[in-house]
Parts: sequence; structure tokens; C-alpha cells
Amino acid sequence: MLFDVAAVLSASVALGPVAEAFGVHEITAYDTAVVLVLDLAPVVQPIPDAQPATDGGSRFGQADGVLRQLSQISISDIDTFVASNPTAIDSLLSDPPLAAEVSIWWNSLDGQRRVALRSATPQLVGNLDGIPFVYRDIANRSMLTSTIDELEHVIANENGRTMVENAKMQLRMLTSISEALGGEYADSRRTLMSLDVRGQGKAAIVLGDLRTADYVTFMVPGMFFTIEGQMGYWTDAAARLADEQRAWLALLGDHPDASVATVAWIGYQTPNLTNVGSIDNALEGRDLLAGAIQGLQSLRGAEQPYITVIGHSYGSTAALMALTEYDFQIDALAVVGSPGSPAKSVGELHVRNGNVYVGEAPWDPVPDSAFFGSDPGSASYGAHVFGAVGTTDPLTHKALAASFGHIEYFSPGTESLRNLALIGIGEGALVTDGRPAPSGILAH
Amino acid sequence: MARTSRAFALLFVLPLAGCAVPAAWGVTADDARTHLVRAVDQTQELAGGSWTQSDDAVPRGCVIPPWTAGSRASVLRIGTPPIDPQHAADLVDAAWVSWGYEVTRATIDPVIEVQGSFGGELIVFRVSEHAMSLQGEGECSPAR
Repeated sequence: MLFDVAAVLSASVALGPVAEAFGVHEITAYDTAVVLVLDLAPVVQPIPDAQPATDGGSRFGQADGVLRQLSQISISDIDTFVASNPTAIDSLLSDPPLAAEVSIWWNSLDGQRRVALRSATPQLVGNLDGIPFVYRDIANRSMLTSTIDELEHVIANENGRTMVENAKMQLRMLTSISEALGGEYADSRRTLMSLDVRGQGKAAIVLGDLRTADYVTFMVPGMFFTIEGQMGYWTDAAARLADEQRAWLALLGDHPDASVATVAWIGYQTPNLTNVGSIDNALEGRDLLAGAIQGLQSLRGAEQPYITVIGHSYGSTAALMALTEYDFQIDALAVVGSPGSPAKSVGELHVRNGNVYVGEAPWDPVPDSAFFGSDPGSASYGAHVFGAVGTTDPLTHKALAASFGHIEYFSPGTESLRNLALIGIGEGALVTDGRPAPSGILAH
Repeated sequence: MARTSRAFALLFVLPLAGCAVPAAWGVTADDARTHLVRAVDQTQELAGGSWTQSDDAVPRGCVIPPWTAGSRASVLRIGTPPIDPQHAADLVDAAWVSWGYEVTRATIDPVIEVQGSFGGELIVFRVSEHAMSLQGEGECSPAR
């Protein structure tokens, strides 16, 4: 155990309604023992609004049936209920209630019921937006570990070649998530925000603490991103962006103690060569990204962070659609290598103060294509165009690091990464447009 | 492999000559990390002030040409501001040049940025009237 539970429990950081209900004010790391302490503590003040409606109608929307049953049946029956309703959880996750409703439901449960739910259905607790991230992390890590164990058992004991090959493929995918979480280095600052172990998999890894971060950046990838192939790369990019943001917050001095969290969000099935021309994956990405952001906003209550979305390639299409078709607002949007979306201008996007930025690297064939609608880089769109080409050193006249091609926007030392970091901490005024510094500061 | 050969040679120039030099790609993960951390530590001393270390314990992925998976260490340090940011930037710039780094420089007002690359290693020093920062990623070495 790396830290003293008692010390943790006596410290003071808000854990929102959950913490207040337990008289707990701070958790400094995601640790199983602490969560168990929270789980087993009595609920002092159940939230009255969480009681089921007396008219038999729903307080939780379309998916109320399952949630209501899970909150009302005997704790000892939860396992049986989940086992005998194998599609109920999947249906609930594919058509979830509003995150705010989920938060109310979760806060109405006592600790023992939460433990039982996490044990019986970690995929529900791990992925339902509105459940606090500390519980989701524990549930998802548990799901990850148990699935890896099962796959290793299959590989060691089964004779069917197809079954073994499929198990090996799934194991490689899940191992990449485990490694991105830190593997042997076990970095407690990484949270497994969501996990779907089926098929090619889906996952989101957070660098930083979503419960307290002042600035949160969601990174949404595009085509050809798979969990097996890119979870590590995308998490590295999120780590790099977080480092860059921490450095700039200190350097600018306005909010030196502010904290950041970045989310390597591969929370939807990105397209491959066979379906990259279809909008279907973007629709899934739109809905799941919207749920993730609304979940965060629901949990943060009155302490809302500055939220930025970075959409890369096809991921930018999903992000643009989410920010057009859902009601929530974010603080900034940056798209790189974007094939566009149906939105025709910044005015259609739910982004505060017109904080919409577009980056295009040299030799990237995707921007300007407007494949899915309008080109966000066009002048009529109204977005700020930021530099990804690398500025020129005013003293030596040497070129600074540029991003080339479709996947170089997040490389260390590039103008693109620096600009994305600045956008994510509300410092868009310092974003460069690719012209020689210092005159290259983007005009606003 | 020209870049690697150059990095090899420069390894002996820096006060890292005592490190074991491997045969294959150029540097082992430990050597690459040691080189990066030592350069950053020495830069901190040069710039002065007090520093907070927030290095990421998890190595980052990279590719050794053409397609070999590798990993690289990273560092993040935040320091108290110097009396004269311009002078601090000049000091770091000159030191890195003398250590064999290829150095570029920019101003993102009010921040001065100095980047130094040494083979595949990259260090970024930034300074303002509020703080100094050092970020870096080491040479890519074969993943374990």
C-alpha cells in the first residue's frame, strides 16, 4: 500500500456528493482500499430525489427499468439478476439514461449495493456515464484483469484453433490497454475511464484527476485507430499534452496551481479502409463522446472544469457532430486533419466564445477535403487556423519542428503540440499560425 | 544510420562516457534515460532556482526505423523564475551548443523557448518571468 488510508481520508479534496455523503473530503489516488472503505461506509444522507417515482413512472428515463430493479432487489439477488438478464446491461449501455440521472441513482445506493454491482456487472459500473470515475476505474481494471486471466486460460487449455487464435487476438488488444495504464510501472495517475473488451475493443485512459482538474482535454482519434495498435500511442500523446499544459500554466503565471487532465479517448469504433467513407462510426462516436462529456459535467456540479475537445481526422467529424447536435457546451475545440462535418460555421457549434481552432499539417491530404460536409479550415467557417508547420527561429532562421502528414500533430517539440496545449488551457491568444515568431502569434 | 553514429560519437563527448554503449541500435533504454536525465539535471543547475520534478514513470512508445517498436523516457521539471529570463535562455542555449546539441530558439511572448536535439533526444527549455520549465524525451531504444 503506497499511502495511508487514514491520512487520505482525513485530507480534503471534494469527491462531490459521494464524498459529502460519507463525510469524506479527499482521495489523493485511485486505490482499491480507499474505495472499499467508501463502499462499506454507511450512506448518511440518501438523496431524496433518487427515490423511485410513486406513480410507477420513470425517474431515470428509458433505461429506468434495469436501474430501478438493480436498486430495489435484494443485494444477494443482484448476481442472479445480472446472470439471468444477459442483454439487459448491454441494452442499458447502448441506450443509457442521462448522466445526471445516473449520478442521482448511484448516490441513492448504499455501499454494499455498490460493491455487489461492481462485482456482478463491472461493465455497467465501469462504463455508465454519471458514475464517479473512481468507481469506474476500479470496475474497469477488475474487468480488464479478469478478462485477461480468462483469455490466458483459454489459450493454455483449449484445443480449438479458431478459439485460441481469437483469444490471442483479444489478449493482444487488452494487453495494450494494460501497458498503456503503466504496466509494470503502475502509474496511479492513470484512470481507466471506460472499457469495452468485445471485438476490437474500446477504452479511454485519463492522465490526471477528472474529479479535480481545472482543465480537461478529450482527445478523439480518427480512422485506423485500434486499441491494439494505438492505445499506447494515444495515451502517450495525452501524457505529452498534459506535460505541455502543466509547463505552460506555470510559465504564464495566471493560474500556476491549476491542474490538468487529458483523456486518451478511443471510446468509439474508428473506421478502417472498408468503411471510412461511411458516417456510421462518426454517429457512434458523436453519441459516446457526448455521453462522456456530459458525465463529467454532471459529476463536477458547480465546479466545472474548462473542457476542450481535440478531434483528429475522422474523430473531428464525430466531435463536430456532437457539438452541433447535443445541447451541452464546451470551452474550446481544436480539430486537426479534419474531413469536416455537416456544420457550416463556428456559429453552429456549442463552443463558448467561438473558441474553435483548425490545424493542418503539410502533406496531410485529409484537410480541405470537406468529405463529410463543410471544411472547418475554410475562411467562411470562421475558425482560427493554427500553425502545425513549424515556425522559423527569428535568430538563426532555422525551421522549428513541424508536423508532417496525418499523424504527426502530437509529436514532441512541434508547433502543433504546443498550440493544442495552449488551446486546452484557455490561452488561445498565444497560439501561433505558423509564421515566424514572434509576429506569428495568431491574430484574434 | 548517420544520425545514430553521430549520437554515438557525442555520447563520448558528454560526461556520459562512462555509460556502457550497446551494440545494436545505439543506446539501451537505461543509457538513453541516463543521458536525458543527466542533461536535464545539468541544465537545471545551470539555470539555477529550485525545481519540481514530475517525470512520467511510464516510458513512451517510439519507432526505430524502419519498423521496430521502441520506448523512450520523458521528463517534466518546473522551476522558479530566474532574475533575468533572457540571460537564462542564453546560458542554456550556449551550454547545449557546447554539449553538441542542435539548438533552435523562439519567442512565444512572454515565453522564451529553447529546443535542443541530440540524435533522437529532444529537450525543451522555456523561461518567463513566472517560471522555468524543462521537458524532454530521450533517444528511442528497443522496447524490453
